[in-house]
Amino acid sequence: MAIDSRDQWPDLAGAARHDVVADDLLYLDDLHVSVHHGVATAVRGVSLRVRPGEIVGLVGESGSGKTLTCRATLGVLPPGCAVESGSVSFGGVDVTWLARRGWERLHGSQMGAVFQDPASYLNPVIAVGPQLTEVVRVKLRLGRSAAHRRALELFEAVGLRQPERVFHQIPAELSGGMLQRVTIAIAISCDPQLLVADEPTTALDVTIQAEVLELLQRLRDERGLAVLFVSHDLAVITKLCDPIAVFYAGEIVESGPAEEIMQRPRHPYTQALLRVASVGDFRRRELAVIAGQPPQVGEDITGCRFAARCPVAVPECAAGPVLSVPVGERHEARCVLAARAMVAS
Amino acid sequence: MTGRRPVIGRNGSGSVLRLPSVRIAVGVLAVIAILVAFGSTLAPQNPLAINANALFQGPSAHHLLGTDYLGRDVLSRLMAGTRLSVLTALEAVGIGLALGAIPGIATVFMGRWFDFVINRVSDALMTFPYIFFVVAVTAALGNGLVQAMIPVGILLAPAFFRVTRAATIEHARAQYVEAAELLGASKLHVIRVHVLRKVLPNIMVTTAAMTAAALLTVSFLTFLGIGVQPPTPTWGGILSSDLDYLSQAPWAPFIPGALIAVTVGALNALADAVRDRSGAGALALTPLVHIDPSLEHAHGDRQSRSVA
Amino acid sequence: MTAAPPDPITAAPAGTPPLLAVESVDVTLGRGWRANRVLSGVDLDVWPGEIVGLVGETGSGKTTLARTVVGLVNPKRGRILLEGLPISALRRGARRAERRRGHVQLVFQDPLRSLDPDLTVAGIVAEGLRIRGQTDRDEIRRRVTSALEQPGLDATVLGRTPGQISGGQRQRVSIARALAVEPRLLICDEPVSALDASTRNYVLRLLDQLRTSLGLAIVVISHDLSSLAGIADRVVVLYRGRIVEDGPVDRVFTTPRHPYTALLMASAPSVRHDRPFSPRQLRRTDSDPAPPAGPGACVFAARCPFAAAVCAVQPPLTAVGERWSVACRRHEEWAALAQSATRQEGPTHAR
Repeated sequence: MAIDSRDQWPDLAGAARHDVVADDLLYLDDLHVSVHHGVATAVRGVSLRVRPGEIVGLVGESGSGKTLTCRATLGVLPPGCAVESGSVSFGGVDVTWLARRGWERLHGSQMGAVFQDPASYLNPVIAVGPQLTEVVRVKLRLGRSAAHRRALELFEAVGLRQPERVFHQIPAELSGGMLQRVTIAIAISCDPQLLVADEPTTALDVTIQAEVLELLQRLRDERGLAVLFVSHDLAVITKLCDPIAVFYAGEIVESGPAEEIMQRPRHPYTQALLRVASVGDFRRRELAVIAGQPPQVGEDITGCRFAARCPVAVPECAAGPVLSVPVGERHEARCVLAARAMVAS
Repeated sequence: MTGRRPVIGRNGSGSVLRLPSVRIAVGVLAVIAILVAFGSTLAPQNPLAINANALFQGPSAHHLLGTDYLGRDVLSRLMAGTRLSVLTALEAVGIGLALGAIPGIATVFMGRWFDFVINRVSDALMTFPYIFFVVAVTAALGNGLVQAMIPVGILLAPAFFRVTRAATIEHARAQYVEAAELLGASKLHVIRVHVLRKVLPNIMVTTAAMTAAALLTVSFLTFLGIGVQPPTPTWGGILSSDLDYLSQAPWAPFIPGALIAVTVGALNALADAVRDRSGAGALALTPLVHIDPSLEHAHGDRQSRSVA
Repeated sequence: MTAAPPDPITAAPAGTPPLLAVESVDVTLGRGWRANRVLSGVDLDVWPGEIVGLVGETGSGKTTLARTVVGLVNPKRGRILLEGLPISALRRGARRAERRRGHVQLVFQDPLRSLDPDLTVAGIVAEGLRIRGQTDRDEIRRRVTSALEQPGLDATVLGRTPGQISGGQRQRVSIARALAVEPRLLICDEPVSALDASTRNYVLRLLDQLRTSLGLAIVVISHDLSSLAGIADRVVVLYRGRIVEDGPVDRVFTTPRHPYTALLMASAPSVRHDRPFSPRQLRRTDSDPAPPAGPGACVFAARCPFAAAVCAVQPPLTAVGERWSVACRRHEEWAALAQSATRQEGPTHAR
C-alpha cells in the first residue's frame, strides 16, 4: 500500500518533521520550477533549508535541477523559466514573488553568488580592484579610500597574496584560481549571510580547488557565512558540505548529513552514485556504471523517477507519487523501499 | 539510444526562401534572367527603330514606357539592353571569382611566404583606380564592353580573395582538420571534404554583392560611353542619353535608374539573406558552457569543464 | 595484434623495445618574444598493451605532449620514435605516408570540435579508410560498422551528424574513427572530462577492454586522478613541462615520491581518512626559506616547501623502484619533513 500521507509515518525519535524554524536562513518549500515557458517542469517539489553557518551541498548530474534550484534561490531564473508553485523564504521572509527592486536589496547585502567560470562574470577590460570597489561604493555607500581599503582587506581575506598588486590587474592577467578568489571577494564584499556557489571549482585545477574549498570553510568558520554549494562532483560535495541533498531528475531523492549519506545511503540512486563516482578511491578497480538514461527534463512519470533504472524497483514504485520519508536523524529519502524498511523496523 | 533534439541545428538554404524579401528578390532576378535570355525577342518593338514623329512621348498603349529622343521604344531598348549589361557584369564577376576565390582558399595551405606575396598583390590591385585601368585595356584591346569588363573583373578579385581567405583560415584551423591530417590527408582532401562546403556560403554572399557592384560599374562605364558603340542599348547608356535631354523629358532617367536600382537591390537582399542564414548555421559551434543544462540536456553530457 | 598481451603490471620483459619512445623532447610554442618553453627534456616510453595515465594541471604541457607525439607540433630538440622509426623527423609526403599507415591516433578532448559537423558519422569514421585509397564501398561499410561496434555504437547512428547525437556518443564516434585505421597506439586527450560520472566510467572501461582485445597501447590524459586509477597501469606526472614522476599507478598514488604528486593526491577530494598528508603540509609558507631561483633550478622549487640548495639544479629522473622514477633530489627526506609537527599548521593557500 503506497504511503500517501505524512500522517501515516511513525514519529521517529530525533527525526522531527519541522516547519520553518525561525533561524532558517533559506527555506525552500515544495518548489516547482518550469522551463520552456511552462512546457516542462524541471524542478519538482524541492524542499531544503540552510541554517546560518551551514555549508549545504546540492549534488546531481546535468539536468537534475540543482542549478535551476540555485538560480531560483537567487531570483535569477533564465528566460522562459518560472516558479510554478512552492516558496522561497529568506530569513523568514517569503521572497518567491519578489519584484526586482526587492532582489536588488537582497543581492550583495544578504546573499552573494559565485559561478563556474569567473572570467565570464568579470569585465575583461577593467581591473579587478575597481570592479570590487564599485560594488561596495554602491551598496555600502563607502567613499573611495574606504572602498579601496575594504577591497584590499577582502583580497587578503580570500587568500590573494599581494592584494595591492592584484587590485590593478585585469582578469586576463590572473589565473583561474585567483579569479575565482576575486569573485568570492566581490560576493562577500557586503557581508552577506549566504553565499550561493554554482560549480565554483569545476573549472579549476585540483590543487587550486582544494585551496578554494578550504577558503570557503574558513569563511564559514570566521564569518559565519552560510553556503549553498552546487556541484556534480560527489567527492567535492562530501568533503566540503554538511548536510547534502542528492538531486535526480528534478527531485531531491535523498538528503541528510554527509557522513550519514556516505555510510548509509538509503536511496538506490545515491547508492549507485557512490559506486560510480570515485570518491577518492585511487586503487585499480572495476569501474561501475549506472544502466539506462535519466528521464528527459520535465518528462511526466508516474511514481518514482528512478524506477526505470533501479535495480530493486517493485511495482509499487510506479504506482503513485513517492514522498520523502525520514530514514534517520535529519536524513530523508524519497524511496518506497526505504519507507517500508523504516515502518518494518 | 533514442533520438535527441539536435544541440546544433543545421540550417539548409531551403529555409532562406521563406523570407518575403528573398522571394521578391528571387522573383525580380528571375525576370531579369528571362530578359537576358530572350530580351531581344520578347521586346514588343524593334529597339533600334527610329521614329522621328514620336519623340519624347510619355507612356501609352503602344509604347508602355514612352519613347526616347529618337522616337525609339524605351521598353524595348531596356529589354534588349539587359543581356549586354547583365552578361558583362557576370563576366566581370566570373573573372573576379576565379582570380580571387581560388587563391583565397589555396593561400591558407601554401605556406607563409606564398600568403605574404599574394596578399601584397591583392593589396596593390585594390589601390588601382579602375577607370584608368579600363581605359588602358580598351585602348589596347579595342573599345568593347566585353574587353572593358576584364579589368573590372581583375579588380573585383581582391574582394573575393579577402573574404574567401578569411573564411578559409577560420575553418582550416578546426580540430577536425587536424584529425584529418592525422589520418594522412593531403591538403586537397582537406579542402575538398572539410573546407569547400563551409566557405561556399561566404563565396555566394560575396558573389551576389559583387554582381551588384559590377552591374553598377557596367552602367557607369556605358554611361561614360566607354565600351559601347551607339546605337547598342545598355542600361547605363540609356540613362546617360536620358540625362542629356532632361529638359525635354524629365521623367525619362527614372526608368533605367529604377531598373538598375531594383536589380542591384534584389542582389543585395539575396546576399544579405544568405549571409544571415549561413552565419547562424554551420558555423555556430556553441560551446557547452553556455548552454543552460536544464534547457538543453543531452544525456551523457555534463557542464563542460573549461580546461586552460 | 590478435594475441592477448601479457599482464601489463609485470609487463614486457626487460629488453623489449618500447612501442613509443619520446627522447629528450623540448617543445617551444610561439615565436620571438612570445616564445614559451612548454616541454623540457621529456623522456617517455610506452610499451604495447599498457595504459599510461598522463596527469598534470594547467600549464603542465600534457596536451602539447600529445600533439607532439602525433606530429601536430614539432619538437625543438629531441625526437619521437615509433617502433624505432623517428617519426618526428619526417616531413610532408613521408609524414603523410606514415600517418596513412595509421599507427598512432589521437582522440581529441572535445568531440564537438573534433568531428566535422557537416559529415555523418559514417563519413567521419570512414574518412581514414578513404584517405588510404579504399574505394570498395562494401569493404568500407564493413570496417566502419566494426569500428563502431567496438565502442558499443550500432548502425542507427550511421546517418546522423554530430549535432544529432549525445555527448557520450560523440566521444565514442571519435574513438571509432581512431580505431577504424587499426592503430597500435591510442592517445586520448581528456576523453571523459565532459561526460557525467556513469558515462565516464563506461568509456574508461571501454578503453580498458580495447587494450585487452586489440592489444593497443593507450595513453590517457586526465586531470581526474581517481577515475584514471581505475584503469591505468602506469602514471606519468607532468609539472610545467617536465616529468616529475613516472611509475606504477597504485604505488605512485598511495606513496608518491615527488612532493608535487603528493600535493595532487592530497588535494584531490576524498572521503578516505587514512591519507598520509593534508594539502597544508605540502604547501609553501612564508616561513620556508626562499627557494633557489634561476632557469636551471628544479621546476617545482618555487612552489615546493622542501626546496633546498641542492634544488638549484634541475634533478634528472632517477629510479626509485621497479619501473619507477622520480625527478627530485630530496625524494628520500621530504616525507619525514612533511610529517614534522611544525608543518601541521600549514597555509590555506599557496600563492
